Amino acid sequence: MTLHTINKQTSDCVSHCLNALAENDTVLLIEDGVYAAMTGCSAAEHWQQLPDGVTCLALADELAARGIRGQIAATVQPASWEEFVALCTQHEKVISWG
Amino acid sequence: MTAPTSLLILMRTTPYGDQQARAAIDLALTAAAFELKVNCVLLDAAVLQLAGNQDTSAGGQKNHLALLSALEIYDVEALYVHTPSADRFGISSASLPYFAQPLEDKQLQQLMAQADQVMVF
Repeated sequence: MTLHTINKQTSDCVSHCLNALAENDTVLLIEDGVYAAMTGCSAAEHWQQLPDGVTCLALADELAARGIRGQIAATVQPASWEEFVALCTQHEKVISWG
Repeated sequence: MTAPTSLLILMRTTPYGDQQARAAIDLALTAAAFELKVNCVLLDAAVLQLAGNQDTSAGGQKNHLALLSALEIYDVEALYVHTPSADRFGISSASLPYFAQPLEDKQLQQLMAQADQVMVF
């Protein structure tokens, strides 16, 4: 089980991460990575076709700061800083893409 | 050589990812204070600077959208949004705030031709 963090909104950053996803991994969008979850943004469609058991989350404070809290793909769940810490402890590895 | 009297600032970065967007605004305000004719354009990912209701209370940062809205008060001539970039990021022209004007490629070329100096952030 791996936690993948994405901190940029560029589509190559997102697609590199998605190619590397295994079952039951978790993707966490942080900093500018949260833009990748925006509906209408080209990267957002990636979240429709995640491998089995993969969940995608985005830091709620980062979404709020960027004004896109209400515009994220339905498959992406908001997460708190506490959940971020918990995810780091629950996964064997943390890989940051960006 | 005469001193430049007009400045075009092209912003290309997201509001909170790094310090670039903030630096561009600081330059715009400074140049306008020294009576240069300043125009700003949001290009590429910088169109995200206009997204939604930005709430930075949790992060201790300044609200970037509020800074952009203040440019006009401090004598910056205009803030433009590059329409093709906005389309790419799913930002509709109907959702643009009142202080931002849409700009097509052709008009961008004209602004660049007219400005004495162009700076990219």
